[in-house]
Amino acid sequence: MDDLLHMGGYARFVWPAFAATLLVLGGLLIASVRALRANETRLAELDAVGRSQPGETGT
Amino acid sequence: MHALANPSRLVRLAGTYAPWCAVATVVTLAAGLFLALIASPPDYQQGESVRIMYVHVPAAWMALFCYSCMAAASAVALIWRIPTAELAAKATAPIGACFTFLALVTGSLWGKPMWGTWWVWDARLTSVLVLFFLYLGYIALSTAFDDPARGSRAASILALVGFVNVPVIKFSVDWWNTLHQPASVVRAGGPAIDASMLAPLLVMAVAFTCYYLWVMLLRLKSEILAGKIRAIQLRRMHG
Amino acid sequence: MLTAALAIAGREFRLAVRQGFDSLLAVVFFVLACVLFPFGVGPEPAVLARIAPGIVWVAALLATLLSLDRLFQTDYDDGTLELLALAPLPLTAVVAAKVAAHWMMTAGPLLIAAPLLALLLGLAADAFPALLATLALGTPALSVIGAIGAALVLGARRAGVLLALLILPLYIPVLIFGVAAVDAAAFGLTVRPHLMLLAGLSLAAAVIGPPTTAAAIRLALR
Repeated sequence: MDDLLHMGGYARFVWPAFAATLLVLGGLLIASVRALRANETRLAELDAVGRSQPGETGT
Repeated sequence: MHALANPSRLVRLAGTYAPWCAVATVVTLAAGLFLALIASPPDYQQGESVRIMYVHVPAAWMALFCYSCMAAASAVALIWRIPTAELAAKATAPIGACFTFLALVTGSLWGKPMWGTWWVWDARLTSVLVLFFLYLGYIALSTAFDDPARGSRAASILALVGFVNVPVIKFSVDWWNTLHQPASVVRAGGPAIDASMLAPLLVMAVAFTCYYLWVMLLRLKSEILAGKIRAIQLRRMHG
Repeated sequence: MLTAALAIAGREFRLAVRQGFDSLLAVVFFVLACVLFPFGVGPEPAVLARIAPGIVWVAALLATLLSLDRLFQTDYDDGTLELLALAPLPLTAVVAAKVAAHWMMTAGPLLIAAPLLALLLGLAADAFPALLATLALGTPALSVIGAIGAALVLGARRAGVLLALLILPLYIPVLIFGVAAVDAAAFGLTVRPHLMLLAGLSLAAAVIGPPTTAAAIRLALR
């Protein structure tokens, strides 16, 4: 375990590289999922309004 | 092909395939990280620092792969006037930008112990930096108009113009004699790399590809829904 | 068709001459940007002579960028571009004529100002012809590539900054080969291959540029 953390003296470079990868990819994933959820909720709201008020034309 | 051009069917397809991509990503990423960090041997020259390669090289591949996909989707969108292809290109751009950024950052972290410097202005590094700016330009242009359709179409043209950079990146290490090492996996005459190191590299590449497909499908679905929302709002406004 | 294209180029010239101050501005910017460097890096003659090709080329790049926003924007705003798109002359030819006029109006003054600036920066005398040759061969590529960007950002928010973001990365190859040629001349090496590459870049840009720009303009007019 100690060897793994130490990385033969290169821990300073190896771990930030893997951490940056996971952080950036994870961040993009979370941002994408949240944008999708927001759009899904918005569309559901709009659909609900459209169904409850048929024939509604104004804003 | 026509199924992919229909937004509603595409939303359903994305909903079906995204979970499978998610599972594939998690499994291959776990396997890839295990192989890269624990199961593979240190390099006889570079020691443990070689492990950075297992994220750096796949990220650099994905940077080029995403741009190629983006350019191909843009070409399809412009030639056959398929709006969903534009949305696919638009969904790809941020993912490609992230992979390019990671290729630059991890390359820098690898360069410091190996070359003794965080950055050199050699052909490979510079052309990848240009690729990063092309991604940023694409994203900025596609969101710069009040009419999103106009933005994604203009950005499609930019993606095609910027494609000239992709072969320059691929062959920069062959054309110019630089510090960056030449290709050792994808080259004529087979890979010049030991199987114990090739395995984690390829598994990580598969994991990144699955991740790309997963997030691309999520973003594509999100883009299509955003388009529907806009259409409904416009309809309500104009009665 | 040639007469029509020449008429459009002629119109651009007359417009540029009547708004003479506008075309002068790019040159003034070019000179100012170059003059900033001795203050920035210090007046050491050896240092300035070494980086003179880079300074002149980067300033030329930025001056071209600065002049691009007028290329289509005014015609787009007052509807002229729409008329030109409907004219029997192909839009690609219209674009080629406009870009050719733009090149002559911006590269001409730059070519006159560049030797003076190179003199101020102490560039080696051997490198002067190379500097002028690279600017003459490289600036067409700058105008053509810039035109694509200028057409793409028509009607965009914050078009000026956006144009810089789109165009500057694509200018880098021109910059690399332009400076490499002048450096080679300053060190007494052969200049020819660099000039051939620059000419090749300009030719390739001239082939791809106008149709792409025309497509981008049609997009903006739709």
